Amino acid sequence: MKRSIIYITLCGIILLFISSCEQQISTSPDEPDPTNSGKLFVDSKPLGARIFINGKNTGQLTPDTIAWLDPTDYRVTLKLNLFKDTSVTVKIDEHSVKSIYLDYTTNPNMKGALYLTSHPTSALIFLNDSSTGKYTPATLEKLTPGYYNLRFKYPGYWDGKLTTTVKSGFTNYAQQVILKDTLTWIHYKTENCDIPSDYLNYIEIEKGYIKWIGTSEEGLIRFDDKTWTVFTVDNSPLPGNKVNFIYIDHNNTKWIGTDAGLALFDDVNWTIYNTSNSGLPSNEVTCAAINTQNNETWIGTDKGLVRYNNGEWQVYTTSNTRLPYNSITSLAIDERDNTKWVGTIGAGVAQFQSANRMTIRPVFRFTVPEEGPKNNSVQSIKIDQNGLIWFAVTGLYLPNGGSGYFNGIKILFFEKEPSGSVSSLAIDAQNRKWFGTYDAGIAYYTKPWLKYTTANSKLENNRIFSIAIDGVGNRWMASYGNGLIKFKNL
Amino acid sequence: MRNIFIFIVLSIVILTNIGCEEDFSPRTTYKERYILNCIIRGDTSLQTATLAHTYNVEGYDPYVNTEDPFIGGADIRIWHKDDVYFFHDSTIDRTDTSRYNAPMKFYYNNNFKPGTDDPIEIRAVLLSGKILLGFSKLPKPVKFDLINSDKRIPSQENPDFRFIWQSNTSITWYLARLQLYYYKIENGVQVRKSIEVPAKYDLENGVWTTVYPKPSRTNRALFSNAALDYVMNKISEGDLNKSDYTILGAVLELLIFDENLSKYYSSLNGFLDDYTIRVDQADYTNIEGGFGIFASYIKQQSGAGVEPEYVQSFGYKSNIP
Repeated sequence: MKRSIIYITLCGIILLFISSCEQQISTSPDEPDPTNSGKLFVDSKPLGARIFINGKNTGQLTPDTIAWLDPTDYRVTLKLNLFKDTSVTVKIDEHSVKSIYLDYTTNPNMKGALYLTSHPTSALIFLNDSSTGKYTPATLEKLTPGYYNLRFKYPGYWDGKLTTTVKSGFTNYAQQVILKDTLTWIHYKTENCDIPSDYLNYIEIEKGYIKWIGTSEEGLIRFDDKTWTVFTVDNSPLPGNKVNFIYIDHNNTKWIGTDAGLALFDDVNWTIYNTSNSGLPSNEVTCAAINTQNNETWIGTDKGLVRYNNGEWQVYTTSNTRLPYNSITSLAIDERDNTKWVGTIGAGVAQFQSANRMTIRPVFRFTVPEEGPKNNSVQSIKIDQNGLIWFAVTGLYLPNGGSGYFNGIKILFFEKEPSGSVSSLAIDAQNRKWFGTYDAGIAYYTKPWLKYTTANSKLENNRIFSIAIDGVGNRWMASYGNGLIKFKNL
Repeated sequence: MRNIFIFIVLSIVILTNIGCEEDFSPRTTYKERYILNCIIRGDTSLQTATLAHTYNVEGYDPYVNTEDPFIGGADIRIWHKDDVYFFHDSTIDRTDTSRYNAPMKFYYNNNFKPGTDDPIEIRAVLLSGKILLGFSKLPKPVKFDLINSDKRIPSQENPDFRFIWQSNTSITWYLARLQLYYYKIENGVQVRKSIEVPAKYDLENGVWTTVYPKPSRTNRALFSNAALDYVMNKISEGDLNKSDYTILGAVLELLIFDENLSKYYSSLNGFLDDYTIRVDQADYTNIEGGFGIFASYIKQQSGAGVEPEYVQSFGYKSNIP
């Protein structure tokens, strides 16, 4: 009995000893280490497909490697704009590197088609500058999805252009391309040729075929029916990119008036005149004319009329002559009697025989005398084959300009003919007077006036700032907004 | 026999008292852990994140460590709808170099501006393959209670300027800040400036003290008239040319925290609900695979005019005729 008690007691001691030391310490569970993961290399043709793993965008584009993938099966989806989504299941093993390659270009299910039509039909279709040999309307099939540049050629018409997309599994019914007739009217615009601007101020023609064009802010353009050459302040000594006028003298030197001075260009050399190196009273040079008999050059500015001869500059203003206004808009010299016809803003025409002899001739037909001269601006002066002095006149505040001519005694004025805002004037070999207008296209003087506008012709813009006629009688127009326009002499 | 019994009893007493004696140490085997922090701001496209590891020091003072625990080279991405935004690491000069001398490192993405109520997900993959994950949902905008809120400073009806809004949820936390905008003529040039208005300006233990707004669950912000007076005086303190100042108005900025950020501030500042106990800042985490917080907030604003008479009483000009 006693022995049993001793054993029990000893066991109790041992149990107490063991259990009394038991302790619980709470700790955060260990973070599992990255598993023995695998990698997946994904590539495609074309490159740049978005890689989705189990429906979730990885943010990665082909070609790329997806790392740290646990060993299991993955649904890999590639998404590429314009192509069908493509999915594949990949099994990743421990430490493995798997690869997927998808060639979109060889998969016939990825192809798309284009249905193309034009007006007129039967235009030859070029796809990315290569002829397809097909004519509109036509369907181009089995095209790899993407962006395509299309060109449509039809004799006598501007090439039509179209950029469109092809999408996997779809036929894209692209919009009908309207081809523009070039049989009579041709519009040279930034959208169809290399002309740098659609906003043109002036045009003059050299040797009957070289077009010199002044732009509103892109400099000077030379166009010889093949090549566009652009002169700006950045690539030439041209002093300003706003070109007001171009006058071509008998030596084919171009006198170019800008908002930053006058430039002379003989196709090789440039000479620049401005207020700091010449007698010019202003850098805003608006017009020029040369008397070939005595080589006197007359230059108009917004601050007076200038005579230039043998390096001497003489400035004529309202303060030292009877000049009615200092802002000169147009000039012509009648070499029969060396009369300078000087157009002004709002003050009519000055018939300038000499500094002491000047006759001011208003160009208006109003009952209130003050109203006409203040309102009308003489934009262009030309002398026809019969020696008549013709004027293009625009209303400054009201559209009540027009056209007129001096018959040796007085100015006959055609109010609002061909428009109240006449911008320019050119005379062709048949002595026809062609007028450009700011708001009504072009017209030539006959009885009745023959007018060409957007409403009755294929002229695309009624805002004609300048008009000139080439050696074969084609009318060339500098338009404000629609580039250079050619009206063929058929 | 009696001696044996006494011996046994004494043995029991001695063994039970000395057998478990040991030195206690709170340390366990050190294992490196990782901390990802990223608070997405709904009012900007520049988002930042930090990634760091834990560190071990001799003794018990963590501040003896002077080596920046930032982890570079990690792949951090955020998912928003079907888009993925990658973070890049960068550095800026550290203003406080008392502990770390090297420039401060961080991750950023400057092209991510999520909308409200959008779920977002962050994932950081360390060079070792270790992955940290976090989820958030941008909070919804609140509706301002413009009827019961003051529209002019100072309030005509209340002893403080108050702004009230309708709470989104019972657990959403907010931080409302009031900014006063003004022009000051400096060297002849009008310069636009602003100053934050404290919530209170009170005497505490005989010292005038400013108390700025703190995050809270309440759906209203109060700014005492004394606090408004304080900033109105403060902007031209020491400048006798009071007419050089033109008061433009005040803008209340309300930061609305998402659930994670609300829980974070709740853990710091109080109780989320009757059954939640406060925990220490370092223990709060919503990052899977590590520690840290991934959360978001949005900002809403509302303007308030400052009464011309009130402005003029300080000698300033008012932009309200």
